[in-house]
Amino acid sequence: MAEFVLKVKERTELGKGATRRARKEGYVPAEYYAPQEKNLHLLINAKELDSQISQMHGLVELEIEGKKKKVLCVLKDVQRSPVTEEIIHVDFQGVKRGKKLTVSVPVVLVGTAAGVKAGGILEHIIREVRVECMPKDIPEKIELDITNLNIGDALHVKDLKVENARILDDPEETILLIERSRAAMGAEAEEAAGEVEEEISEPEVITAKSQEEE
Amino acid sequence: MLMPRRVKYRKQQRGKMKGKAQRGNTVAFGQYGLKALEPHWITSRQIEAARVAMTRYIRRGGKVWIRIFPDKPVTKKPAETRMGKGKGSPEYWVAVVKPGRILFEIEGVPEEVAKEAMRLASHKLPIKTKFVTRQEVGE
Repeated sequence: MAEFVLKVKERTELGKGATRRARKEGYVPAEYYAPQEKNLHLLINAKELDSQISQMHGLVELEIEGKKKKVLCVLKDVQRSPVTEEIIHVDFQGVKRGKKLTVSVPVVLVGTAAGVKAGGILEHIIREVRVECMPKDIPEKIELDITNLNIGDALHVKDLKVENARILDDPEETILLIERSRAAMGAEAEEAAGEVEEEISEPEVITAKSQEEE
Repeated sequence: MLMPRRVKYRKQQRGKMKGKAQRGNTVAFGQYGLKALEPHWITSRQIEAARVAMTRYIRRGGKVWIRIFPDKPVTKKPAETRMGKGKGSPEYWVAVVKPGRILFEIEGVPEEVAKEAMRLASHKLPIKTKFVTRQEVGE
């Protein structure tokens, strides 16, 4: 598994005002934490982080400016602005080599399902699974071949195969299923459902009912 | 049209729409979404019109999720009525939408089709919107 190297600066000023100033200057405030270690308050170049974050699965090595020591960690959390979707804060969790850790790994689908070619719709329900493994064995992604799936077929967590790692999610949970499309089901059923809803002109009032009873 | 089946009270006060959407601001079910950029009340009629516009464009294939629900009753007094005599009767239902809220989601169609479907849907809404794609680390 490739390690990402990220250049960071230590942050001396803390609090709301300082982090806002840092964001204006093009930095993203970040936090590094690990058990029995002091937290590190960091700043990362926003442009650099934005271009790299999409590949930042697995181990990340933080190079702190002005310090010789490098820190090994995993990306734990990313906070984004609800409107602009810019990154506003990042969390890194420290990792010790030789000690197991829990990470989320994306489930990537390979190929086009036969059911989709026949007019079905692929519904991808679980896109990430939690995995327990050694830091050196963190899988970049878990691939799932879907070419043989027909309409009505589904794949579950138990169908995933990962080497040197244990999947923590419920084995019976559905990862994806191939549904019949609306066209196949017939638009009539849908319209009828809509009519039934239209018939209800006013909802039932719970409190009014209780008053009558009294 | 969408409306609650049961409610605790028939009428509600208007409330405020301060701040940004703190929940429901990420694409959670599909691959593409339509994000609100302004605060507004979206009526059940507008939601239905947008849904119809989208589903007609994508025709067969694709799945659509509606991420907002009109659970707020809006009252209105009858025309040419003198003021007073209590609050009017419920007329329609609205969803309170704040900036950042994902309104609709689509899956199972190519990006271009999803974009056009969302564009058609956005013309049925009273607010500015943005087409967004699922944000994922590692893709």
